[in-house]
Amino acid sequence: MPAAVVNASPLAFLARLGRLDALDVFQPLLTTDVVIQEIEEGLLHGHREILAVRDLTERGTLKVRRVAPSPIPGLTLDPGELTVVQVARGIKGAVAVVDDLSAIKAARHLGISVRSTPFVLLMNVEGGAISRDEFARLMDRLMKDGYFLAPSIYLKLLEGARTAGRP
Amino acid sequence: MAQGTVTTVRLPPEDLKRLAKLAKELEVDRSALIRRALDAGVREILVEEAVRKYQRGGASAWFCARGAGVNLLVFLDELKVRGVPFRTDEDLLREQVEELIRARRGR
Repeated sequence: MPAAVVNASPLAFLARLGRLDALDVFQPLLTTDVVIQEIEEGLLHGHREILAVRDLTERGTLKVRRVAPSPIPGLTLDPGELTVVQVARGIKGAVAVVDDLSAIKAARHLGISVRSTPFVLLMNVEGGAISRDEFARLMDRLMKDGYFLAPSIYLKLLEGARTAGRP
Repeated sequence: MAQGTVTTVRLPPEDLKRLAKLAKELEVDRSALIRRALDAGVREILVEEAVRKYQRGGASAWFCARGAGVNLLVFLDELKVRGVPFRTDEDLLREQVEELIRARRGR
């Protein structure tokens, strides 16, 4: 299993879907203190699903690294995203779990492998932890949550689930 | 409340009437009501501009959220409410899924 460093938006989306366990396909699973601070702040705004992220950190499943963000010239990223990129860069073979288009482009520019929330869920279909029917439901919920997937990508994901998983 | 700075703003009489009426209804003084309206209005402008910036591309949602002084999760909610999609790298996602399908078929 590859190591992964998770950014804030995948944690938020997976927590909303109630499928933070989808991150079990990575070992170790890491994030940064800046990410956790932002996520925890969501609680103050009524995002109770974030309690599940707190549970992951308390159980030690999600390990939190303290990192001081250092700017990377030419990248318009939040300091929190920079910390994710920094940690992923420092671990050989680690992937960054990132959803935001700009953050993905930045990570890839630096040679970091990236996985986004839909792909992490698809990896779980491949691994048998999520059925393909549930995967379809999760994609629908993700899109209802504002996550844009063009129809062609949506269909491609379903095709991926059909070829990879159980009904 | 901490001592503030006094400033002068020219307002149309109808706005002043509306403020006076609302202040009476809410049982607050007019200054407190104006401060509240200003707070809400400035937040709305900041979020609106941040959403526009995000839509134009080139900056992440978190970067835009911080610029507006709001939490990322709140900003994601704002995008949803305004019907602005959260965008991922679809080209990469397509490549990865196709690779997975090819690998599966090759097995």
